Amino acid sequence: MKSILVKAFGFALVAVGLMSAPASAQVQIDINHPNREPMPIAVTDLVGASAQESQSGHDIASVVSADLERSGLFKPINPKAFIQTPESLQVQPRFADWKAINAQALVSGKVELTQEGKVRAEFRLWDVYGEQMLVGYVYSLPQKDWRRIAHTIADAVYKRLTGEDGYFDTQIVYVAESGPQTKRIKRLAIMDQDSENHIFLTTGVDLVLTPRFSPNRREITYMSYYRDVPRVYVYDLDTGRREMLGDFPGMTFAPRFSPDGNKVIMSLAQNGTTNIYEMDLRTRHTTRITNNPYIDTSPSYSPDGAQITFNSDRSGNQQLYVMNADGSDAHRVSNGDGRYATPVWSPRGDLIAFTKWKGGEFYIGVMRPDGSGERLLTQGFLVEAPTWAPNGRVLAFWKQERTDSSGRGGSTKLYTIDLTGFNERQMVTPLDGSDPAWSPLIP
Amino acid sequence: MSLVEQKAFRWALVMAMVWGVSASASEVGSDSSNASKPLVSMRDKEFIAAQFLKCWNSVSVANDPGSSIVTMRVMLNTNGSVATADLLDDAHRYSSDSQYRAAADRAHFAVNSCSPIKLPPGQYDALKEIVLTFDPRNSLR
Repeated sequence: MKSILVKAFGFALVAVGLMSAPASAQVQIDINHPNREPMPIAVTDLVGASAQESQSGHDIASVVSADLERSGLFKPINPKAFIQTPESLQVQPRFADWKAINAQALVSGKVELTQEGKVRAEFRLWDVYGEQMLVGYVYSLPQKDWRRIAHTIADAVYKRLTGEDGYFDTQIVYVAESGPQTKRIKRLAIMDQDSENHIFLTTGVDLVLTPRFSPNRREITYMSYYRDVPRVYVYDLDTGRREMLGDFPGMTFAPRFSPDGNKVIMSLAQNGTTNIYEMDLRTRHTTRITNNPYIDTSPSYSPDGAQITFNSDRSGNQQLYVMNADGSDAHRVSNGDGRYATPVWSPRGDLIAFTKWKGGEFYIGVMRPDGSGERLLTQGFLVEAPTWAPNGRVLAFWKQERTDSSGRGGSTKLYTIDLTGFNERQMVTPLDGSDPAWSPLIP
Repeated sequence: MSLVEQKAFRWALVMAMVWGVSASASEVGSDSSNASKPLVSMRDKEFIAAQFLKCWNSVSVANDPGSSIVTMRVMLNTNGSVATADLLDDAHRYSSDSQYRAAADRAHFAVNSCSPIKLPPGQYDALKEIVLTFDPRNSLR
């Protein structure tokens, strides 16, 4: 009976809404269907005084435009449609000209190549229909870093128009894969988030897995094989030197830096169990964090370093857990069907990303640190290993295709997806790629 | 739907009609000049909403889109153009909350870039002042 009354009252509310609003009152209109059309934006060439500067201004605008388009949230308008020239924009935008091509936002600016070998870029972001400037900044960097100027401008535009920090001035380290599936060559590689400036860091003689950036972005910890035994290493990007972390009796793997960069947390498999250990990089002192007969692995710190999320089979199958950084108060947070793995705490602390396996499919998802609010963002034959962009709103991961009946296929590619779950993009890599790790913003 | 539920549904519809009429009668009573004004149908509301929706880019990637709901009072001219558009939410949020500010700007983009909107014939008086709520909560998968 109660449910009938509730339903009846619900019908009444709906019916009132359908009927009408009183004419004398303000009419309430809700716009709550998602419009996922990206925002039309005009990115004009930055104006230069010389041909060289003009080319630089064009190149910078192209990178800004590509960054914004790749986010899935913006639709840069073809410059051929522009009515007002970039040069006359320096005086004042003719907003009617930009409204005519349906631009909601407009980027303008100028560029100068200085005697000191720097590129100095000045840009403004305009609200076309509000007819006002939203932000304007000046950036100066060595000329070889002109792409970073562009990424920084894109970050500023993204932040002003979405309210979220940008993530374009960043790098990705990953495992570049080549060769047949049965004899795969795996090399460490690094590139900008837009796939430019790609460099192989290792030769492929030793298999490498699970690279992770340090908070200062100058070191990478990863797992590689030493005399056929998995070991954790730290690679210095400035010197190219690599160092093995500890000489343990068992296998060490799944390393990750602490938020302050002073420690590395990792798993150690020994005598049939796997526990989590922490090494202080200054003293090389090792502390055991978990101590039980199960498999505890894939540890990841909360951004304040006070807690650790990890996956464990202690409840019978792989689930996600959160514990204090000293190992106390470990409690299960994943509650859905299926198995969970590779938890990664968001740099903003509000979410944990994970890989889930259920019903023969893999998923990338997010949940709050207390396990509530689980959302699955993407799925596939094999999707795995999410890594957060520094703004905590975009994830990178890798995806493997099925092999066909003749054994062909099975290629692995890197992808990004944002928290809406709708903007999924493949990253361009020269070879197959897996195990991506997103860097912090470049200082 | 069961027989009992069908009866409840019919009762609810009747109550809704009584409620709707009495509510408007009450407000009309407070201002006799409005007595002859027409009601705004759901179809008319949807007609207006659909136009603004086309211009609104719900580009939020916030984890909690509910915190970026924007409410705006819009005054329309007789030709459907936007005369004024004012935020009705806490003014402090625009300067202190970057996500809200971006959402408010997107709502302004939508209202301004849609102007002028088409009005249902004869409905200007009823629709000259509208309150739009831009709600991005359905934007997540």
